[in-house]
Amino acid sequence: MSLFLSAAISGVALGLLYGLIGFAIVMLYKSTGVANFAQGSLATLGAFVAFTFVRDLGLPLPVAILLALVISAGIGIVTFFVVMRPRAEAGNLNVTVRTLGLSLLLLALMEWQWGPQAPYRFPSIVEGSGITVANVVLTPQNLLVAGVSAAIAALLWAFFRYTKAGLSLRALAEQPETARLLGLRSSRLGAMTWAISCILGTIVAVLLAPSAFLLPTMMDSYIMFTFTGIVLGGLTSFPGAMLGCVIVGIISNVTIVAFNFEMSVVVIFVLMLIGMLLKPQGILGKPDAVRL
Amino acid sequence: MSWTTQMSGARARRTWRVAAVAAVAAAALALAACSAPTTGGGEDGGATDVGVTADTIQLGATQSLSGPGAASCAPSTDAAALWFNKVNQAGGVQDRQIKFQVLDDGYDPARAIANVRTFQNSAFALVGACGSATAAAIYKPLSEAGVPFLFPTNGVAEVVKPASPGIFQILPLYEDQASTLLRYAFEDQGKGSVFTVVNPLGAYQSVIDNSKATAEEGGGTFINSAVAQLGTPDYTPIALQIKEANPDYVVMSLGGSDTGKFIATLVAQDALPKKLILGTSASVAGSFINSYDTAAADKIRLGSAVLLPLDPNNECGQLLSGSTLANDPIAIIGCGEAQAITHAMSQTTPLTREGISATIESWTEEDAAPGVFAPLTFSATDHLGLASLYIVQPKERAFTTIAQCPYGDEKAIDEPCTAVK
Repeated sequence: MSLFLSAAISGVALGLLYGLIGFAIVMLYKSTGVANFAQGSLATLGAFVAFTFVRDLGLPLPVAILLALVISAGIGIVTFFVVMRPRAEAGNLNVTVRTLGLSLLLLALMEWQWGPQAPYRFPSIVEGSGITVANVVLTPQNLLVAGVSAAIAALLWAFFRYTKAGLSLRALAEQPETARLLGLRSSRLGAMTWAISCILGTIVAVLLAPSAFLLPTMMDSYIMFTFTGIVLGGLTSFPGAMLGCVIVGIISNVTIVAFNFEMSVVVIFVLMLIGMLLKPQGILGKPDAVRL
Repeated sequence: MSWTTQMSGARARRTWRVAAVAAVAAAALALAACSAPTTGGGEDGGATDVGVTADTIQLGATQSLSGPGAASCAPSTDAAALWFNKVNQAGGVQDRQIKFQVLDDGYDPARAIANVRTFQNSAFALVGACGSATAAAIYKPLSEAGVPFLFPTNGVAEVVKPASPGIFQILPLYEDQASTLLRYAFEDQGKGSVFTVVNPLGAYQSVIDNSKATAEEGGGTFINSAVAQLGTPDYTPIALQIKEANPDYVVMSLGGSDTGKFIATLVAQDALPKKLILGTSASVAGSFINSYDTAAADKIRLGSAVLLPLDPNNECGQLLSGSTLANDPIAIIGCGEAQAITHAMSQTTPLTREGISATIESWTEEDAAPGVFAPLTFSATDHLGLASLYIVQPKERAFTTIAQCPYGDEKAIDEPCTAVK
């Protein structure tokens, strides 16, 4: 029984990481109605930028990360104006497929630039021996992820609930035409959303890279479970996304120790299907309502 | 004229038209057959076989250039390309320049099979694919089509056992490496309990079965096993299982990057085995040595097909020095395999697909890649070239060879390993 408890606790740590990745996706979805399949690639690119500053320019890690966050914001803005904004009236499906294309393009660029010598050992942000709970060691990285997740969740919740920009983004996502008629500057808000999303992604990637090892496909195996978690928890809800991802993390790790990895994938996706059938909007998501 | 007479006439005219079209088609086919390149015999200006002309030899490779296996696999074809370029600059093989084309399969067997279809009628041979799953998918179609498949990096037994026409491998199978490593470990550190962890690099169950059988034959015990997909995001659950089992030995057959992640997780979770971590040659890659947690270095022993570090004065050592491939064992293997291939081609006259197979089967203690591989021995019934496995240990960011162990069914049981200084 203690092995399952240990696995569950490690699953919580893993789920918090998935949830942190999910925040960026949920934020973009809430603001634009677009599920960003390039989230992983954009995040990894940010981590490579930070790594390049450390390795090639010898900058201290905190400085390199800050610079990478600024550059990531710029990449997000460019992405919005070059890839997303043109012909935005083509519909959400068209725009979503563009994110898939962007993901493949970024992956190819990273493979070309950094692929030959990948993977790279990314420097740890925190060091130490961690704490042991029920025979599982929660590493300093796990604890940092938990802290950052809580902070970002609180910030995003407050942003969308209490700030003018956040409320404007929600309005733009729900009723884009009406919002524009009311004078909301959709381009400026869209660029801001993408900038914030890329910043969030880079934060996740630099937290993840020390244990996952930095390579162009670093985020691939995380993105699949992240999407499962946020669909389960609610694509429009930050707490829901975190809850769904933590559930996925726990079930994944407990199933691995009870059975094997293949069974964990089966269980998770069965759970997702059941969740979508019983509660399509997710555990904490709000159902879509249309005034007739 | 009656309706039936009209119909008979029309039918007759249609019949003659069909016959005329068929005759023209047959003539066209015969003309095409006559003008197709001939195979064998050295006719048609030096075109001795498919992929061989008077001045070129076309070689192909299907390789994992993207996806989770790319970091470990791509260096082998990069190094092979360097070797072929070197040979070309020196005049080529039998005055023919080697043209080497590599197609990406992303470690996807379906894509590898598609690549084989591309090469089947254009390449003289397929060389050095990396990855057991892809090798296992393509060896049969290649053998049936008579296309030599030379020296893939493969751990699946069925590819080479029993010997298939045209399919030759240098590297020992993972299942036999696991047995050899455990015998070495039991000799060196005493018998003990074993936990095995594998990525599904081909038929992984045989690695688990061999670990179990060898552990029990040696007086030890087999506790459990775990399978993790290549690119697994989190090895913590498996590390927790190992921590609870507290084995003497952990045997792993994992890709290079996954080995690094797995060992880092064992260190983080305080789950290192009491004695040693033993790994197959799948772990002996630049992607591992550049990223692993050096805190575990003293406990790691890995199987290697090549003597490491490579002598810098060796031809491959000189070729790779100064490049990012210099210390990558996968690149060294790729260069060695390419060296063996050009060696075989130079010994085969006329250069035909059947001829190169016969050449390789005739090798007994052939020093086909000096300083890289031990001498190679093949036969009509044995298409696996190496008879020994080096045991290497990571020291900081390089591998050092510490022992050489006999490899193979009978020898492995009777002969001990020898220390390498």
